[in-house]
Amino acid sequence: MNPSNPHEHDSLDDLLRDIKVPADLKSKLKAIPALVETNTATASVEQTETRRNHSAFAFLLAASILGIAAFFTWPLLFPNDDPVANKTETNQLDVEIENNDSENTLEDNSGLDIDNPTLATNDDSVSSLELIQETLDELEIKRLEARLEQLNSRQQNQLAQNEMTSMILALADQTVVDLGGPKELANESMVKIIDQFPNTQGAVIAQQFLDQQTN
Amino acid sequence: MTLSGSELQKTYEDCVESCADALYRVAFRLTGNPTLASELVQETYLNAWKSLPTLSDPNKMKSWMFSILRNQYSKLIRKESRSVSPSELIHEAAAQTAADTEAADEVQAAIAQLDEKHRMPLLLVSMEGLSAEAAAGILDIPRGTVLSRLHRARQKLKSILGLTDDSPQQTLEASE
Repeated sequence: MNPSNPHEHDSLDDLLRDIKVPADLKSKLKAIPALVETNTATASVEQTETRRNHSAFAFLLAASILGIAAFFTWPLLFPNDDPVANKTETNQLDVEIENNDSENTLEDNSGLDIDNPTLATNDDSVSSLELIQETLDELEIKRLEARLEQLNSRQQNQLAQNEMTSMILALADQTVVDLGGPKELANESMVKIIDQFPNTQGAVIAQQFLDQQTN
Repeated sequence: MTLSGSELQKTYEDCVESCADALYRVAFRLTGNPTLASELVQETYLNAWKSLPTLSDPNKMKSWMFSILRNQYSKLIRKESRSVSPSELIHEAAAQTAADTEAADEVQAAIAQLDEKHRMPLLLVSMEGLSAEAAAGILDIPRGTVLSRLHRARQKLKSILGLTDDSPQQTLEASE
């Protein structure tokens, strides 16, 4: 090759160019812009879906955390360790139910005669109103009964818990003495059990223990 | 210059018509493998399509495309070199091509023996007919360097293929 003329043609160039170009190459290359557009659109949709999935997951996670937190904090928010308070609450509910009944009776009479004179003249409307009111009253009573039942159940649970606690404590003290422990401390502990958990099996055991010590 | 969507599409298709064959030939000579060559050309056109709005002078389209091809080939070599060396890659490709035609294998095997720096000037100028200035722009080297590397590459290739009596060593020594 002459360096001054790099395009000097010879057999070497023919050999170099002896390559068969695939027939479908150009059609593949021309399809690239359309493929790029499609991929871009698909990527955009996938990105949106991914973002939506992340949002849903975050929502579920937050709901789960709140649920777990509520489960553990419920006893703290609504402590159930004071049977006296529960009893008071039950009594208040009883009073509320009674008051509610009285108010409902008053509302029925006053609403028809004074607040809505037009309806008072229409027998059908009056009977409908009465029916609705009765239904509402029944619903309210049922709701309060359910609440009362729930409180009673909770109170029963608390009583059972007290029963179990007092019994365990009394038996534990008794065991300590049986094993040679100080009787004075056991006596004090038994007195506390009787004071703190009256009318329980533990209190009975404690009283029996004290009686035996006295005898 | 800002091209509209349809103008971009037309420019791109013109580019496919005018450059695809040349790009494939160079890609094939670089890789020695038809599949790799096709992939390399497709990667080149994919990048070209993405960068087409930035092309300032459509008259330099061919040089621009070869620049992209060269970059893509460098990427391919880097990627493949993690598991296999470039020379191994080319020899493997040449061996694969040998199954196709004996003559093609002979030329490809001879090209595979050239240094990387000698191969590109040979392909761009001798095979594809680009000017030394254009090749210098694509390879980012001076025109004189293109010419000297081209000369050495041709001498060595002719020697390997038995097209000249000069041995490559003698030619290199003479040129240096």
